[in-house]
Amino acid sequence: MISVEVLLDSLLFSNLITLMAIGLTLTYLTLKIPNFAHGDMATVGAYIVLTICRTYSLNPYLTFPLAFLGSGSLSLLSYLFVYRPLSRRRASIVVLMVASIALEIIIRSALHVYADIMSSLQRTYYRGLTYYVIKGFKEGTLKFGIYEIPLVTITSTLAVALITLFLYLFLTKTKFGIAMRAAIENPNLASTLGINVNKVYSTSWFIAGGLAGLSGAFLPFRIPTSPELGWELLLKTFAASTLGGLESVFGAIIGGYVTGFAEIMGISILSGPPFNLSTSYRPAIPLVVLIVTLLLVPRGLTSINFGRLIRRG
Amino acid sequence: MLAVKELKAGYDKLKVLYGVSFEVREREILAVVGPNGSGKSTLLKAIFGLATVHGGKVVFEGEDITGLPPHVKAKRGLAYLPQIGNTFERLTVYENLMMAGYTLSKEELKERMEEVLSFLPYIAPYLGRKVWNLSGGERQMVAMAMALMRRAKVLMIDEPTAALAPKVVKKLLRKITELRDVLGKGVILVEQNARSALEICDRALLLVAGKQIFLGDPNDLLSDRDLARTYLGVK
Repeated sequence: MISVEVLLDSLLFSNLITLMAIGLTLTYLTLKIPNFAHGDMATVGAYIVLTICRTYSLNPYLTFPLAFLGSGSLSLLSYLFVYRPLSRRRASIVVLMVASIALEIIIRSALHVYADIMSSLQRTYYRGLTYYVIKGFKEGTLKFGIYEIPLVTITSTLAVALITLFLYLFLTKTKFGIAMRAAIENPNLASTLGINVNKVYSTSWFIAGGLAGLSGAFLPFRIPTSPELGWELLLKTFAASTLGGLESVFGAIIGGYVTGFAEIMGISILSGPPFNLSTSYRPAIPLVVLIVTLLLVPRGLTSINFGRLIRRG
Repeated sequence: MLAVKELKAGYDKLKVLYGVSFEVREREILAVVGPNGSGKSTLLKAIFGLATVHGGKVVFEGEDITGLPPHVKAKRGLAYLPQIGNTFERLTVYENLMMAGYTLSKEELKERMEEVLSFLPYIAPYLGRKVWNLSGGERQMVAMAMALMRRAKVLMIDEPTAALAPKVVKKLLRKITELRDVLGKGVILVEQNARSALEICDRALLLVAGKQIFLGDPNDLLSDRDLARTYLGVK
């Protein structure tokens, strides 16, 4: 039997994976590269909030916009100074992918250096941190009948809902958003129509990094943050984007929830009676779901024609 | 309006065209015909800046535009409608027209859309539909509408009738003649179906293996039995 707590944990975890998967899909749509440095944008976001809030004893939520801006800017810089020049030199997908792995290692190493410096400056171990290291921090809950729902589950769900609504309105109702879809689909045609493809791609990379940063800002509520965290979450994020078909932001949202719920609910079911298995296989769960889904639906969940299925049923 | 002088072009070092020259005036259709692999599509790409120009010139309204990038040529009034990839398939027809008028103000966009829809009323019922749901003929109409949104003066259309039903081909070719007769545009029409292109054009250019074999009255080309039979499959 799945408890309400497990469902709430699944929802929270799915929200975080979804925010990252939306960004990863956006970067994939522009240059068609699997961006291995995307997970580190989340770690950067987490460290921005942790550093500021620990230094000034602030409520983490107040600094969330800075996590979005910081990670968004880093993502934009990576596009402008690494991926765009390589792409203009007609680098193959393999070359771009290797460049993203190199960048990932550089950012992760820089975060380790940062953690060491901060450890000596603030005399606190800067790895494995949660928001409980902030003076006066207390995680709130909301009571619904007999259930107490952690505030972070509500805020992260609201964040995903608002971002989904924003992206929908931006991409379908604004001229620049439609131009973004056009430039992603056919950059050559878009540029002949006077659309500034570079501006569109830069915006996509900024939003992508910003969303990863936002996801990272939610992480230390539950997950101990260290420089390796983004790298550890990356494979799950890839699984979510791929499940969603890699070609749709809204597919990434579906993929994020399937991946997140599969992992948390899967581990809860398999570690309890009658299975009583250990939890060390946890990272494999979303990947098993990914492989099984792709064997059944090779182009991802968004390629399923639900209308036809319902009519057949 | 558009003059091509001794144009030599290809892809990087590969040579495809060996010196092609012609002019397109206002209210004129020039049909470019020839067997497969003769360089017809490369000619349009080279004029628009999408192929490598090895020599020669492209002059538009008295100005040498040979080396200009495609988006600048588009802004000047040249439109290129490739056989595929000439619309945004994941966007609706309305969004496609909106993107064609991306640089226009809201009022201008509305005005031009009305203008274009009165010329191409067939696409009006499909404004809210995604282009990938349209038939080949309808997609060509959308591509044409996008060129008209930009008030292109010369339209270069690459094999618009490929893989279309005969009824749709007729409709599409009629619209191309109206581009000339009603709107006064210059048209360069590349066509595999030589006979139907020669029926509607004012002048014809025959390309064979990248070389210009004939330029002149389409009736003269059709009446030259050797050329018509060897290269155009006309009996």
